[in-house]
Amino acid sequence: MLKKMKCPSCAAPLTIKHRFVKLVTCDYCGQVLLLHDTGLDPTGRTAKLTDIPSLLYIDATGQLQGRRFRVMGRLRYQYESGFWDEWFLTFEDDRPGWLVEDEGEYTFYVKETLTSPVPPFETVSVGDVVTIAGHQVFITEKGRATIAGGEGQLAFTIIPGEEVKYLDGTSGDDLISVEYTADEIELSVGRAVAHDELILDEEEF
Amino acid sequence: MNQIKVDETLQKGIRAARRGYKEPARQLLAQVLRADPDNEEAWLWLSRVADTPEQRADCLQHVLAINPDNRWAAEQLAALQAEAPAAPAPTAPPAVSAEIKLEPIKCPKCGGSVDLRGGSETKTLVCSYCRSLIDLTGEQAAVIGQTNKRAKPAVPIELGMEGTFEGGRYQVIGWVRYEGWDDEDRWRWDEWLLVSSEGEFRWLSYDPEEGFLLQKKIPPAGAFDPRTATSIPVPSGTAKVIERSPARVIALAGELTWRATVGERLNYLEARRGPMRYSVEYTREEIELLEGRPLSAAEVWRAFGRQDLAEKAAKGEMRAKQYRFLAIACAVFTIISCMFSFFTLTTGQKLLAQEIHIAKGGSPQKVGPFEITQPGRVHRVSLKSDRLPTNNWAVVDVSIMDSRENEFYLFSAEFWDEEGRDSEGYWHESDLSEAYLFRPDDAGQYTLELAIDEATVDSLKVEVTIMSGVWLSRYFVIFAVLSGGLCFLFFSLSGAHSLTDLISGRR
Repeated sequence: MLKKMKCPSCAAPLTIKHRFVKLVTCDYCGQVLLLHDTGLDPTGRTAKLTDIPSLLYIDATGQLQGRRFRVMGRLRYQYESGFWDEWFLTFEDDRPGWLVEDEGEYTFYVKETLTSPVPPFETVSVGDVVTIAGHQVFITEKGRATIAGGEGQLAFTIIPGEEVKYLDGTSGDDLISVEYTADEIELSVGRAVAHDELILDEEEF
Repeated sequence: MNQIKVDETLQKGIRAARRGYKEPARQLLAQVLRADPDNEEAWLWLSRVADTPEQRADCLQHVLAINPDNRWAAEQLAALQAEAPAAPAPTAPPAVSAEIKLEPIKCPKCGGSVDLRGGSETKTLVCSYCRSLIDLTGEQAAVIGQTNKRAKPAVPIELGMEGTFEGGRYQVIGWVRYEGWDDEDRWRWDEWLLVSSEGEFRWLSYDPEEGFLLQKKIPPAGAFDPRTATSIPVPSGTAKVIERSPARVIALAGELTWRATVGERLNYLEARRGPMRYSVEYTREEIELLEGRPLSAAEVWRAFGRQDLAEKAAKGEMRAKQYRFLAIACAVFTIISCMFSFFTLTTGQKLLAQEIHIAKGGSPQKVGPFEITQPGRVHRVSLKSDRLPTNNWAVVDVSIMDSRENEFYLFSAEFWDEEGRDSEGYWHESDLSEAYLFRPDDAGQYTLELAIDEATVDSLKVEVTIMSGVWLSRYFVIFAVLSGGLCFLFFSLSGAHSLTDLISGRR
């Protein structure tokens, strides 16, 4: 489903590429736009990223653990020690998810529905074991990050400048991530992706 | 070209432009424009990969001709015209050439061009020209400090060196020197960040005492408290914690995967399970676990293609192996010597065993007679006192008399029992046995005379045993001390740190 639109900020053409998309960053003026039934609303924020090369890129296609994917967007989180990028991937017949790269190792996270209360962020310390949605999670990282920017198209309405509090941990072979924003708490469950399980389509230019 | 093909080519051109493949992007976008000259997106992206300001302005003018409302294009064009007012008239899509490469980072301080090899994982970069520490985490690269130009790693592993580890080709992109400390000591070690052509990262560390270690980051296999844990869960079971201390960064160079600064503090622990080594770095914000194996210096230099250093290291390792063998041999001799020196206590034939009571101030008590049939051989007199009341002592004079009542050997035996208190609390010690060796020249009948010389007790019960033909322990003791000393020397030269290391051949 390709939907042609125009950026309300600079009037450059935009193409909405997936039914999950709720937020679009204009490729040209960098304006972050919310996608509604009625059209695109500018948020007044721009989301420019320092141009640092990566294996992944917007619109890249390939296979992740045997499933065809397309890279729709990227979010950059800035925290005290630097930043990390999360790539938003959509699949032909499956739920979308986030591919996170950390020191060359990939983890693919899928959002899970929270069915029970999550411990308040302030009460959890690194090294604690806490129960989150039935998972016994060993907390390995706790911090605050700001959405520094993004590109492409995303499935939710997080905007640059917004603060995110996060807990990362492990539960058996699962990697658990909880993000606390002003409006919601999100749980993501991830699995490590071996290098040969992520194959980008080669393009002959 | 139909509309579907135009869209496909446009998307491909945009992907090429996003990845920095400027020339292919230009060609693909030019194809789109030949089929659809009013394709606004194609002109927009072409403006981004154009080689000169003139070509860029040309593309933007086409955009504005198609969509006069495009504010971004208007702003970009205005900015270009402010720089170079005479933009050329619109022409056909430009045919330009450019190298297909990613842009290097420009040092904000000296303007030097520094290649970025770690991709988006690189958060800190040290300029190879002015050694400025550049933070790449912001919107713009920014200088956040200066590094010491003279600081160098302990071994010649340099940035840019390439090596083959675990079957993959890696390049050294970053270096950090750490200093750890405890109450008594300070020590330093080096770590290099390696990245493979597939974007995999490894940490190679070198500690003068521990040697080389190649590790990668893994998720913890279970919960543990890094401040107190004596073992940590790892994928294959549990690893024993062998060291824990604070550390700080004292020098760095190249690219690093976090916002590194000189002076930055962290805590770390080292753990072992079989041949695997685990490192945990922890702060209040994060716990990181790394897993890997030790590598010999020869393996590391071979991996980097440094045959000269590999041969030198291999010779050193061979020498260390020889020292290990000699240390083990000496340890075995020491143990055997100690065993023999204890064995001497059981040697000899019993000539006499008698129990006597000696009174303080009384006449000497006779023991024997006993017959010496092996003159010239070593004999032993053993005295064992009965238990003394606490805080008492006695000195007994012992004379050995021949058949003509000539005293030919005299010695004093001291027995004592004491208790007390000191800073560590109550203590109680006693010494209730003595042994003396003598070598009679003649065969015949001999007697012993025992008398209390001085004592805090009125009488003493002593058990006397005389053995003939005993072995001397002193030669075994001397041999044990010598071989023990050599064992220690060879152990130090072998580079091993524990008996387990010595036996297993680990460094």
